[in-house]
Amino acid sequence: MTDQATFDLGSIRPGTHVCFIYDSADQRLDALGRIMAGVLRGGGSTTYFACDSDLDVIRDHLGQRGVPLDLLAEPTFAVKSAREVYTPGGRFDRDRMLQQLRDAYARGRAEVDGTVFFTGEMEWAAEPGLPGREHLVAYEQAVNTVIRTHPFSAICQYDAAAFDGELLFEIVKAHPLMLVRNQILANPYYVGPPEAANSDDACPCGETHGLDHAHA
Amino acid sequence: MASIMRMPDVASRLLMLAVMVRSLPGRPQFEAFAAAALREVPGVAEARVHGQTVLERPALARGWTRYDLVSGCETFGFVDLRIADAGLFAPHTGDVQNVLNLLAHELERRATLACLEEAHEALARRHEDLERRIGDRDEPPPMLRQSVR
Repeated sequence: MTDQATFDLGSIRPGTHVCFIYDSADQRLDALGRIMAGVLRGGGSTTYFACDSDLDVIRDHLGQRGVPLDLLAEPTFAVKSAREVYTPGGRFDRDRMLQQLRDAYARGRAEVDGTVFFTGEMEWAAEPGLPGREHLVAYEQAVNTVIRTHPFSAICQYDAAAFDGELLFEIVKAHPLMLVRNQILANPYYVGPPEAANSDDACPCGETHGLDHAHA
Repeated sequence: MASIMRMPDVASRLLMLAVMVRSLPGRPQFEAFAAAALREVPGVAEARVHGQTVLERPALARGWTRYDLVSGCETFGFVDLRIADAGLFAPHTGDVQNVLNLLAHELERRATLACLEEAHEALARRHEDLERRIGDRDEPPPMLRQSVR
């Protein structure tokens, strides 16, 4: 998956799954703004799942980045409540959410020729005792499998102040790419989905190797 | 799986750790994240990161190795590693030491920023105090106010 990645914030390509750990709202808006503007100008669509961010603030920011007003409305641009999307009825259901992504991708492909892009604020997952929260990391891992057949691009936004360090590390391991200081980097900690061991990409010796391993 | 992790893979992981900890604002997150990443180094069974200096360090249990987090001039904490397989760990010692130095530099950077912020706040308070005193002096003393009437 990393060979499909782009390292340019302005032209994120289909099939990229990125983890973004940020420590300020300004940092978040700046990085996501560049990416969303690039997607919209490139003929794609953006769906933003917001916890606390204001729709008008996001829209104004994109307008300042030169995105035409007519692109800042459905079907090319939408802002939805992250809590309503991820945790309807107060519970996170991994399989339901993965199906939502598949369906949303299909709808997006019917509307635009460019990249279908999703980005979600994940603060909802920091709520202690949230039913289904324990499936968060497995969900992130499963997104990598879904992307193979439904090549949307996704950036998962994690507020560094809201999550403990060990959980953040597990979350990082589930993403092939990281957004760090406005650069998209290949993630050397990435652990592929379990079924990768049985795929054509698996090494004959049955072990998991680094990205450029050549079995003797 | 870790037994055949190549040195460049370990090195790139440790380098990424040094980059990523800069996004973690709190010391507990810094410590937990770094510890989780260090546990991925071949041969390491357990890791604990202490990102602050303490008067009395906890005693080191058997089988553990302690590394100080030292910048050019100061110690900012320590890391304890339990090495379960010294042979696996040995090729990566240099990379681990390098990243520990980078972690120390990050702690130093945070300490410097904290000092600057404290100094800035003290200056701001002093400035407010001076402004208030100047404002009070603009008012004529009571005796003069009476004579003006």
